[in-house]
Amino acid sequence: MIAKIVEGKPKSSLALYWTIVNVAKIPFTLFYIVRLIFFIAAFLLIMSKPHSFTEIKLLFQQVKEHLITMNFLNDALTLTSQLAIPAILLIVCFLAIFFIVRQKAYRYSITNQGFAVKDTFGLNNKDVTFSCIADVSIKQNILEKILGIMSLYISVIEPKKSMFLHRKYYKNKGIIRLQGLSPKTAEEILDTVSSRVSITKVENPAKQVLYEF
Amino acid sequence: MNSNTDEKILLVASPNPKTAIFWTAMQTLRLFTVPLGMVIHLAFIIIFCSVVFSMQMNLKTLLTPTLNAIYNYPIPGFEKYAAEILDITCTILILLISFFYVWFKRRRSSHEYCITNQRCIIKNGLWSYEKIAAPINRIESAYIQQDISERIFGLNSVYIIMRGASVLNTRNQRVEFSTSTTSNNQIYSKKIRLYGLTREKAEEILKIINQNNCET
Repeated sequence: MIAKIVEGKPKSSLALYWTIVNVAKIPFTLFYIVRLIFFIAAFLLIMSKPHSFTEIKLLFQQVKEHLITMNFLNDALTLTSQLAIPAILLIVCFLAIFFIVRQKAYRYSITNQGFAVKDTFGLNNKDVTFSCIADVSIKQNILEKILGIMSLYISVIEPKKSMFLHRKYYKNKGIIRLQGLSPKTAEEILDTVSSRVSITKVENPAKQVLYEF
Repeated sequence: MNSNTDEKILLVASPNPKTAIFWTAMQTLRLFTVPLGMVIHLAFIIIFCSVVFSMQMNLKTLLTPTLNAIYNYPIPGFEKYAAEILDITCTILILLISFFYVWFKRRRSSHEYCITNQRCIIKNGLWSYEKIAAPINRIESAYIQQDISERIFGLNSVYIIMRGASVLNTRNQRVEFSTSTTSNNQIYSKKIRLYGLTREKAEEILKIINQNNCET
């Protein structure tokens, strides 16, 4: 018999947290793209087998002249300077709207048999029974501290035969993360889940019957 | 604490005051070892590039002008301001060590270990916050380890190996790929480390964990 103990939603500041975290990733993504271009250029340079520095210099000179004659660099720079700010604003707005909608759909529930998280419009649902949980922890980084939220991490026990057989548990490297909880709620859930886990025996996860929301 | 009435607190501990000095010493040592590591890495890259280029051109002609430039033109004004540079370096080093000590002293006070008959609860975090609740019936094994640096300061660490495959790398939790004692397959096993304990405390924690693990 399944009985619900706790059911809830994250705090609304979770959408802001997700937006900040993902906007902060944009420069890194650009950096990786630039680095990739640099590596490709270096690879092409090595493949062209230059026999001296003068030959490399000549090659660069040729590329530079080619770009200038095409007027490619000037056009690219003008276009980038004109489009950079609107493009960034557009991306930020898109991310903010997406994360607000995602936060509205985010749910968690604890029953007498297990724990479930509903995320990303039902595409990324995760549920686990208490017998499959190894340990529980809560964590708050500096940004989460500023926004007054906390994250709960539930570690899932590895299946006996092969970890790759049970993709459901290892979709996020064996961790179920519940985000956007208020510190008080996080402490309460930690106590509830860990006390339930401490009185439940370990069983093979393959034998567990997962329950619906 | 837990709402479960059967749960009893058996031991509450925190790292020894010496831990702050130990962490300061380790961090100061890292100040020297990290740049050294970077220099070694850079040297490897230079050697690799030299080997690659020397396949196509003469290595001697490549290196001679650079080496000549280093020998013939030392850094301008270095001899004149050597004493000042040394003074500034020493001051920065003393300030850094003081900062580390204050930081680690506060970090030590934020660590707290609570062992009950059902769970091991570990709290830490100075700017961030972390609390781990490890149920005792999910512990695979626990042991005490003391490396050379810890031995100098008379400290011990208790390692708790959890059943499971959690890949959450934080300060107290480390993950390594190893052969599980319960299965023949290679799995990720998680280690939770309790820092800076005296031998008596570490033995006590180990005894409580083993005793309660056998009972469950």
